[in-house]
Amino acid sequence: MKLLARNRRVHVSRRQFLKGATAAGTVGLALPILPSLASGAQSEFPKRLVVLCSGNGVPRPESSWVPTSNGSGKITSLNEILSPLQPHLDDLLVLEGLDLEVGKSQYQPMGGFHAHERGLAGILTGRPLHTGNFEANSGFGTGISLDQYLANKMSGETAIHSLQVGLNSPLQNWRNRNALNYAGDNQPLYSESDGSVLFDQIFGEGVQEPATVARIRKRRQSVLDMLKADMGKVEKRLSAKDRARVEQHYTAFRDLERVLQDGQSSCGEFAAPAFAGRDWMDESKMDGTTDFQIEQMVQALACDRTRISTLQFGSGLGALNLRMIGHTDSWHSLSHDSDSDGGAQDKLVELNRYIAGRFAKIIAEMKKIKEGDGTMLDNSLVIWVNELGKGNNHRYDDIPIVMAGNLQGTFKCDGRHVQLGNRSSNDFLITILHAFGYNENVFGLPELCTGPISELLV
Amino acid sequence: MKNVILMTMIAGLSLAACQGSGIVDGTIQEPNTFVKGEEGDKDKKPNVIIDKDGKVKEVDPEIEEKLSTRCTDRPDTLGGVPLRILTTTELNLALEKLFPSLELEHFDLTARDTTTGVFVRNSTENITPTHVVEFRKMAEAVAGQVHDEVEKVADCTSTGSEELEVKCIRDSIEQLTTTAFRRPLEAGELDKYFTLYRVGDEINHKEGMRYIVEMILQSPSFMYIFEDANDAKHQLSGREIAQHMSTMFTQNLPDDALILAGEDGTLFTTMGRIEHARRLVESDLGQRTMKAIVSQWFGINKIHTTPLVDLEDSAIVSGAELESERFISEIVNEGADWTKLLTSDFTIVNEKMATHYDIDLTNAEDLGDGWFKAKTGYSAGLLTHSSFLSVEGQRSVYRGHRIWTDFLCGNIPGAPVVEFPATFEGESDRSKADKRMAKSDCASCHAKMDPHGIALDLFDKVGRRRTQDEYGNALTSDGEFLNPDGSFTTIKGPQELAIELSQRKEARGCVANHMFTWAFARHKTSADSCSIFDIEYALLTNGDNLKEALIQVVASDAFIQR
Repeated sequence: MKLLARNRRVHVSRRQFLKGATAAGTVGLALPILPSLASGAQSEFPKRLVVLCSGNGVPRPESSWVPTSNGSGKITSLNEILSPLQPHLDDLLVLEGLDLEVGKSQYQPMGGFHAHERGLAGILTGRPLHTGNFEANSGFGTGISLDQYLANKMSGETAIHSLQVGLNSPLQNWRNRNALNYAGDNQPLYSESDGSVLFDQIFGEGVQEPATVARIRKRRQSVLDMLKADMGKVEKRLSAKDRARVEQHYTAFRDLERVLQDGQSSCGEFAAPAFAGRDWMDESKMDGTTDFQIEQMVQALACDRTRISTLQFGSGLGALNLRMIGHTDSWHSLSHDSDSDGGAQDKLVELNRYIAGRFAKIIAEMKKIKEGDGTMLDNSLVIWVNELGKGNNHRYDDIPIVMAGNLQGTFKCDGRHVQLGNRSSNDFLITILHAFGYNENVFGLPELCTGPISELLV
Repeated sequence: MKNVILMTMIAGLSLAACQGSGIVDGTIQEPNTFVKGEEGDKDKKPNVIIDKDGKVKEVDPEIEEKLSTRCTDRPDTLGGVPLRILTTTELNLALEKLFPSLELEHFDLTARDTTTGVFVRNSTENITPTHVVEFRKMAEAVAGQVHDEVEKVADCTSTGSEELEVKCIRDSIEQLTTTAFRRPLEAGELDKYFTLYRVGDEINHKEGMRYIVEMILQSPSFMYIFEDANDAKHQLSGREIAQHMSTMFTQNLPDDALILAGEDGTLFTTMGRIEHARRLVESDLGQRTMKAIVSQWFGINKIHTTPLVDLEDSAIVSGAELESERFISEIVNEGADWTKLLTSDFTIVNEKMATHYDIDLTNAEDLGDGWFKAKTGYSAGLLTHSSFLSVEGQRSVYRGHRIWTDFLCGNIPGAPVVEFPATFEGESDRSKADKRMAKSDCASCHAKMDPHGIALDLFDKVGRRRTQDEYGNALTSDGEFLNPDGSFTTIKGPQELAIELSQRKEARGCVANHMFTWAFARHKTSADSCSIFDIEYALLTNGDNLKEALIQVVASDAFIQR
């Protein structure tokens, strides 16, 4: 793990750890093969969902993003932006013709003025935004996002409900609504870019001598018991609306408790970086911070601390600059430059190629985790989505989507390029639900749902 | 200044695109002038206003005419404050108050702070599992320090008897919990906490106190600021009034005097509230809070987060922030007149910033520590500070957007979902603005932004004076100010922009809006028009003093109703 000085080692729970799981090659990770468990069928491994979301669409999609494929859709070469994914070509499915219909004005009855916010909230919820108010252009999303919906379905099976991982993604940005994930109507969840906080969320007290760990756990459990009681008392004094608001706080308490109770044994060790003084929002250091975020997320999946995770790369409307690739421009401002501005488009291509590299890193890390005869990727679905199709015209058509993993043989991620011909992104969300075994035919706005996209499923 | 000029390009405005942004039925509304019929009868006047001395007076019709807000139906209640979570500032001040004898580190949770309007007031929107983890980290760090220095927090080991030791410990726990929770403990509550202490005390006293402090600092009773929604009387308790006033004026937990005033009934009287408000606003923390209000309004601290600033020279970034902070201090300390924030002809700079601005320090007043009070050559206060100008970059449309939204409280929808025209590569901002304004769909919103921003065109993205842009286009600062009737007043440069802003009643109404938002940590609703009327009235009759405006908020009987 580059850049990371190892001064903390965390013993990760084995209680629910996956049968036969190993993690060959992950630095700082030593998960032993358990022969007695190694022969389990693939279906005995849990299914996982990982979604990476970036913003501002892609520049020059036809020449920089769309891959070249033969008559049967097999990709023969990846274009400039997707080139970092070349080592994983046979695991990919590249989609064209998927439209984020819900972003369009006719589906935003309450206003939802800002194009980026519509897209960001809509891509996983399939629903419009609430109306904005005096200062904020847009309200929050009006329904639960797919990741949260699936996490609720799996509730109780893992210590942590779900992860919202930030890759230099602001918790908030002045007047803008930067939430990708929603626990429900008007209940945004922000992505966590501070790796040290995420580390504590995933690995709890981790650390140290068994006696010290036991003492910390005892104290935390005693305190948590008291806090839950206090929360109940506070809730009684709140309005119904506010009670719904603090439900997330309750969820957090429950997660913390489960992580505590889950920590009876170890499934391996994970080296944490030296956190002090680290600026997790420094664009020039994104190589190191995003690597760590991805690695600890994969570790959380490997140890079955959670099965659902999203990663949010910056924010289309946020203040992210391009220092991670050596430029000082603002991403959002640049995304509004015209197609004829070659310099701007080149930089945007370079940035999107960088993001593709992050996506490749996720795939590579998941492939390192052996599960039965395959890898964790075989049991997972990993998706790269976007809030827009193209930035400078706020286009909602042709949202760039790349997928990897086949989710235990339910998805056809096998190096193909598929033109869907203007299917709604709501149908895409439904397709994912089907792949996870939930045969529901509506997700988000019902009028945008026609059913699963059969050509994506096995 | 030239008189009103109706720009021909506005004649064909398509107003539909800007609905919800201050335009109703084809006319541009002044921000706080509510639509007749929606807000009730405009001719129905409020009878009374409470003056700065707590005296009830008839509303002066001549003053009322100068206000942008109308109050026609004074409500009995202001609706209370919403549930919210402590801000970074509030958290750190609370820790200082809870543990005055410890030297605690500053906990930076600013990434988790959220804004309501222009202010950091934290709502519950940002409560996430990781937020709770962050609070646990903070609580454990503080509790660890209490463990190591327990004698500074609960020195109960040399009391002489077990009975006295138990009493000492229970007193310490009660003191900490009642202060942190801003309420007295309920029956049996102290026993419960003492039981928790006992679990830790199986190891030792230090560990017992660690348990207690970890619990307190993660408790929802500490983390959240809220009022009891289930009280049928709909009247705030004395403790709740104290909490509201304390967070509003000092961002801190209530002090002993305020708690006592809440308990003995003083805060249920108008004069009692006004006197304590005045005491708080003039305290060190009150002064600091007033400066924070101004700083957040002008977005001074955002200079650190804008990607457009030239970050290569950190001395400019820190110098610019300090310049504005010192300038704001001076204005707040001398009357807190908000118009002077816009119209003052001086600034306070060090040599680095003087060079940055090309200010001659020969005749400047030496304030010591390397800082000088110097004339700027403009009478535009903060409008020509680097910290203000850099926030939205140098594009006039962004600068104009801020003028419209933050100083006139107008609304602008987000960028529309349309095919944008080709970028005007190499053209000046003025030329781009002219093209946008010539297109009715664009002009309906851009008329509110571009003309105001162009008045600041002679300053680059870090506030340096310039005569041409990056493409070599010659620049002028001939902007325009949008009038309520849709016409424009020509303005030249920041000085005339400042004059317009400081003299417009809708700008004063906007200041009143801001003060309301700060006080109640929420956006206004139509039911709040009388509160905003009162604040605006107080501004106009008290030399535009921001402190008096904030004090006015607590004067009405409705303040203590939920």
